[in-house]
Amino acid sequence: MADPKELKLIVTALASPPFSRTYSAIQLHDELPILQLLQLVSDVMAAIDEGNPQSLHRGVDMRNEDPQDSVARISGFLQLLKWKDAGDVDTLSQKLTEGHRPTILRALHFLLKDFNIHKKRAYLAPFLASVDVPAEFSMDEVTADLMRHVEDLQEQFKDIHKAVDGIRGSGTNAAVLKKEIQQLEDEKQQVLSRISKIRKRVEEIPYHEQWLEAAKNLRTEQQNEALIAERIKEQRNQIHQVENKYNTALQALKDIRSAAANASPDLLFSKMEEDNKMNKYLATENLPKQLQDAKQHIQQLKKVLSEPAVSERDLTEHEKEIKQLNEDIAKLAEKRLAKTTKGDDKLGLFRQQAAIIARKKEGTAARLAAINEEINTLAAELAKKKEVEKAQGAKMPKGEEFKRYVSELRAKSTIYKKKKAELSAITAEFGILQRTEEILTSRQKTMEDSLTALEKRHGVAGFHIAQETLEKVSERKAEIDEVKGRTLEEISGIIQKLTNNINEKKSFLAPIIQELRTMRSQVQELETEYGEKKRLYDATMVGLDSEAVQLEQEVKLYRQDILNDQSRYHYLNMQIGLADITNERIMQEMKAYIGGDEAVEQAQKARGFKTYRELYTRKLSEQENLGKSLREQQKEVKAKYEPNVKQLAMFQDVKKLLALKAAQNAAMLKGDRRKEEKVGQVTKDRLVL
Amino acid sequence: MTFGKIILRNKCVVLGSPTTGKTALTQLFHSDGTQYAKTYAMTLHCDTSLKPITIPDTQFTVDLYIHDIGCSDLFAQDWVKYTEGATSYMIVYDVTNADSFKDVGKWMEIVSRGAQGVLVANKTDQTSRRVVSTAQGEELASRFGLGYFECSAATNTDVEAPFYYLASTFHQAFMDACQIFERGV
Repeated sequence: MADPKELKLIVTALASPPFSRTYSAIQLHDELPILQLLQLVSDVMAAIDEGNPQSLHRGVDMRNEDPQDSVARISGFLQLLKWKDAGDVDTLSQKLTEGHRPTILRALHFLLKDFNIHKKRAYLAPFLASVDVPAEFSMDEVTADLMRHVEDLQEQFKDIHKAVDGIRGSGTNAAVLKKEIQQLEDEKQQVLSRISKIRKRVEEIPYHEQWLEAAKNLRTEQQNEALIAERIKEQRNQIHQVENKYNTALQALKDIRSAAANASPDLLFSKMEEDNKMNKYLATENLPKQLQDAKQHIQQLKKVLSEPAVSERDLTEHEKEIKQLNEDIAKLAEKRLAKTTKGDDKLGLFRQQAAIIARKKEGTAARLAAINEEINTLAAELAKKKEVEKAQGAKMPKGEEFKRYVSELRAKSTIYKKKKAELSAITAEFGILQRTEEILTSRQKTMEDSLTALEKRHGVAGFHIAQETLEKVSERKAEIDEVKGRTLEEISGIIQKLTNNINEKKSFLAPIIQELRTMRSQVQELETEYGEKKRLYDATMVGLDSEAVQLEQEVKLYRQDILNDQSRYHYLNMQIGLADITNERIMQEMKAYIGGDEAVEQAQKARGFKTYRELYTRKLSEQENLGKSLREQQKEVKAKYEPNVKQLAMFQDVKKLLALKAAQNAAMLKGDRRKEEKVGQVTKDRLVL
Repeated sequence: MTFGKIILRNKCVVLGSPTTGKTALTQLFHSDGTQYAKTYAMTLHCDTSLKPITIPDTQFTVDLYIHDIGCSDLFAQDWVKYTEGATSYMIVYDVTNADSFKDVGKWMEIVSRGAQGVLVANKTDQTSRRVVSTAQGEELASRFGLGYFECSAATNTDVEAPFYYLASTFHQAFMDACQIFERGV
């Protein structure tokens, strides 16, 4: 069975593009049918073989393909990719035909594990496969020439492919660059648009040019400031350094001075010599070594530079290798550790032996690789031969199968024979029966004819037909009767059922009805009670209502009374006030009459009379006098009234006459003379009269 | 109590020179135009009468306590006492008597401040003898801030108008006061 890790890898690989199929590990392991699994393998192969324009595997549907063909195809491809897990081609193809699930899963794992490497190999394989030519033909000059040509071309191809790979892997992909350029251009566009926007906005501000100028100045000044700050820093550093130097120099000077002060020239000389020695050593020994190291480093760097650029893919591969190597190292270390724990004394010997074994192992590994290569070529050859064989003819059945087949065939042939005999017997019988039927029909015809003839003779033509129809009718009637009978029965059954039902219900209802009756009597009692109560209620209600109305009216009346009384109260209050005033006046009057009170006297003086009595009597007498004189006046007027009236009338007449005369005179002054005279006479006459 | 009527009580003082028709006006109004004294009888001191006036479209009734004061000089001492606490007043003059018109100012001095007032020109039926014009009356009324009415007790024309005016202005003042209270609360 397949390793769960492998299964997981398969699942994840299938879930990612270009497959994008989601299967669970369990599905792959148990549920998926073999055919579908093989289809998956085929699809993966197709994906691997993408680069090949004449791929056998593209768009293959396994359901339409001969299983033999598909097995041969898959196993061939797997061989091409140097898959060695399942042994040689024969066993592999056998397992595939049998639908051996683990093998298929393993194959799938193999295909998906190093998908990219397989892709490359699949792409290269058809170009680099050596053309197999039988020895007898290779002697031919033309053929040999062609073969050499092919080899040359293959060499060329290898070189070109390497170059292409290098270029592809260098990471300076044209598309990427183009994209970057595009991006940069977009950014540039954006920046330009932003600048134009800002410019527009700035232009709206008054004196924007001056502002811009100022901004520019500010920026340059700021830069200057930064520069100057930098310079100041540098100079400070320099000052610091110089000060340090100065200090060391001072120290040296001090030392020398002290040395000079308390030492002889010999001592000084010996010191100088020592220094010299030291410097010599440095110059001769140490510096050349350092120089060499530096040179070596430069060389390495140069080497690295000269090598083609390393792409990310390569890097990852390298990293993987490194990892593996590290792991190996770790393992080896562990082993060594184990060994060392076992026996330290034999370490040297073991080391030697290990070295020997390692060398041997290397040798065998090389050999193994060679052998593997050979196996591969042989396998390829075998596949090719098989293909050829397939093309030549159908596969011969194997002995055992053949025997089985023969025995089956025999059984089948005996059955076939039996069936055939039966068939012939049946056909014969069928013929006989057909004939019998013919004869019978002809006879019936003749009988019918004779019958009609007979009827004609007896004068009851059509009797036969009538009878027939009668018979038919009676038959129908019988049928209908039957149906009727059945329905009647059904009906009676239904009735029975219904009556049963009714009875049941009745029996069921009886107690309820009993209950109902008691309930009814109760209801009646309650109703009578209710009626009584209702009547009582109504009566009391009516009484209360009338009472309420009465009370309301009373209340209204009382309200009215209150209002009236209130009004009356106020009115009376007022009257009291007035009466008080009068009372006061009376009191004052009394006081004034009695006299002796100073305040009262003062008030008397102020109002100009002593008492009302006095005032009233005075007024009364005044008025009486006035009345007397008026009465006299009235008398006079009454006496003069009539003659005055006459006089008034007379004066009024005179006034009228004078007015007329005045009018006449005015008219005369204006009018003609004749008229005037006449009128004048008339007036004269009147005057005379 | 929202139902029923609400009664506002209003002390109304009727003033004016003697023989201008104060008593005639008052009696006519109080008796709804049925009583009119044919002969003159001087009013002594003060006559009072009560007349309720319902304000239309409201639940208010104004009770007018009409004080018909005798305005003869004989009673001059008591005028102030009688007018004390009056919430409205009515000053009457005679359109045929210029002196009565001149005296309006004198009566204005007597009435209490803050009360509602109305100036009534009586005897407008005597058109031939009229000496005080409508314009003069209106001018005076506006000078004192009074309502101005013309009427004739003899012909019973427009007698009720000044009383109604007083009642309605009193009601209005009451309502305003109520609103101020409500706002205050």
